[in-house]
Amino acid sequence: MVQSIKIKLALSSLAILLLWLSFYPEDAEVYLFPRIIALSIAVLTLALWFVSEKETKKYNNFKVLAPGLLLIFLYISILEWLGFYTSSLLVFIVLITIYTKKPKNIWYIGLKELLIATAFIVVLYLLFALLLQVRTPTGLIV
Amino acid sequence: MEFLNYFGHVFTYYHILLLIGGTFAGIILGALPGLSPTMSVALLIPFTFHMTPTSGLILLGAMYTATVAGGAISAILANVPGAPANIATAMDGHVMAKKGRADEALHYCFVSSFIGGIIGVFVLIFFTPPLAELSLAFGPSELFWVAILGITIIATIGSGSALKGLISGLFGLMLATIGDNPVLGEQRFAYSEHLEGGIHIVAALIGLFAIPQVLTLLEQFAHNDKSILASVTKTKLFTSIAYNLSRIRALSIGSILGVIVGIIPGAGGQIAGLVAYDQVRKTSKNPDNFGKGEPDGIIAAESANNAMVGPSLVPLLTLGIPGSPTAAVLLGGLLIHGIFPGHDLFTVNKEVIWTFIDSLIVAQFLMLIVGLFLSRHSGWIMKVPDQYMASAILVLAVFGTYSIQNSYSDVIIMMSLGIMMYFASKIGFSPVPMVLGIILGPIAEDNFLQGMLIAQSQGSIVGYFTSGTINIIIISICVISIAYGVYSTNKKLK
Repeated sequence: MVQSIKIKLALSSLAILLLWLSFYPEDAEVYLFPRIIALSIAVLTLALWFVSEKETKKYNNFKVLAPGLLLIFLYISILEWLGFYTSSLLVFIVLITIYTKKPKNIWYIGLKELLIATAFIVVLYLLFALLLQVRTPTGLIV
Repeated sequence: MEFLNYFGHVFTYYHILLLIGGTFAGIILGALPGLSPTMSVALLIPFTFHMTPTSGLILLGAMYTATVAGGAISAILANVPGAPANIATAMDGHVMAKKGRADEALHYCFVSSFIGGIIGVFVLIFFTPPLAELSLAFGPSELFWVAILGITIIATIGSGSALKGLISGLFGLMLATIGDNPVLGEQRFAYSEHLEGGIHIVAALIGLFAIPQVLTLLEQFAHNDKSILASVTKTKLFTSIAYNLSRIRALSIGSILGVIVGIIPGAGGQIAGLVAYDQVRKTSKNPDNFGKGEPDGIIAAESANNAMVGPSLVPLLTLGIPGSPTAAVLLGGLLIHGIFPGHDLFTVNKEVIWTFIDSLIVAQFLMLIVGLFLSRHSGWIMKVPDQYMASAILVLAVFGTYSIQNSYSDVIIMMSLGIMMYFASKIGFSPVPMVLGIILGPIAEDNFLQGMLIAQSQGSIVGYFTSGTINIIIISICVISIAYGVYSTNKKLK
């Protein structure tokens, strides 16, 4: 029940924000379509308050996800600085090391993990950078 | 039966080699998130520069056919559609894979793709002149109603709750309005430089499907769960083929809708699969089984998106109007080789064009053989540990997104949408209606605004949008679709 009210409150806030963003600019012609959509979202969100929805029981463990989310953020940050292939290799290795269930020192990287990550990135590089010449962010390295 | 005269040109060692290479590469590239059929064909165009026009087109045609089917592999095995056309496939395909029936799901996918694909190519061969005229009949009002037809699906597709499905779909439509107004050209909601170019459909698709999947896989780590992609049950190929062929209703609805959507310029295969999926579910005796691993869902979606391939070439070859984004890239391939689409294409360059069309038939057979061969080896992908799968999907998602238009902004948008979708999925929202909204948004808005301009000049907005046979047919289908949705929801509540 509490979860349901929290969701409805969050959606209502989003609907109000969208209404404000669509109706605040003065140019009605440019914003005609977004205004129609924002109004429709507001009406449906209002309807949500009068309909009983099933509670969703999906587990959510932010503690476990936090390293992964942080790594994704770091990945995006270093992508243009280091280059796609180098940063991808680093992220691949760190991600599988963090999320592998082995009692190991954090500085220890298993040979298997290292080999698999390197092979994956090398195949990507050979196929897309050398053969198909697909452009990727190039930074200090590749 | 002129097309029969040119089969000999296809069966040369060189062309068969090109067809096999194009099919293999197409299925593999199609399976990678972000490498859509459009992009895969575009990547191959430089390789055709030194080929004869016939050989170049054969390679591009094989690639087009195979990538559309290949996109289903990642949709089924990893819940990440390789292209927008495979969204509907993921809805039941991945559930089957999680139940250990990946093999079977892939069999249905390739057999249905083959049947739909063959029907589509025969439509291209036998019905090109009347279909070309029909495709010209689609103006802004008709295309607006096509988009509305797609929107009617939103309420009932992908999400358990109709209201949440609609809100999610409308939010997708809202996201699609970011960037330039399609008629007036003024920017909207571009609060950051990353948003100035709007939200690319493929970037949104990758973000909304791939990133939540990465985070879900990582989440398993905390719960000591068995890998969500671990179990595999082998299914006999002939059992799958026999079952697939017995699903005549799903195959025919998928193929017919694929053909119809294919000839509509601009609609694209992405909505063919979803429209077919929705119609098959609505006419099914067991609509509740859809989304829980129902083979008919895969059969309808895959036959539709491959049946779209042939007809999407009708307006391209006869009028120079591409029926899908990939057909637009193929148009570039034709022009590079000095072949100009139009009414004399089938007279002046008939050898090239009939050989190309014949090669599409052969490509369908090769796609079936290569696809079924690869599906035999799907087991090892399903056994890849979650953390490896998550890392691979993450890297491919970034790669695929950046390579769409070499834009770092696309990567940021993709990640932001993905993380948002992960948390939204926890409260019962599905990515499918949102992606559908993003796909349909530009079609709906562009044609609505263009239609308004035409209607104002004609003096009647209602008259313009509701007159004409095609408009009336599409409006009727929309009404039936909504009425059926309301009826089935009420039936469920009782």
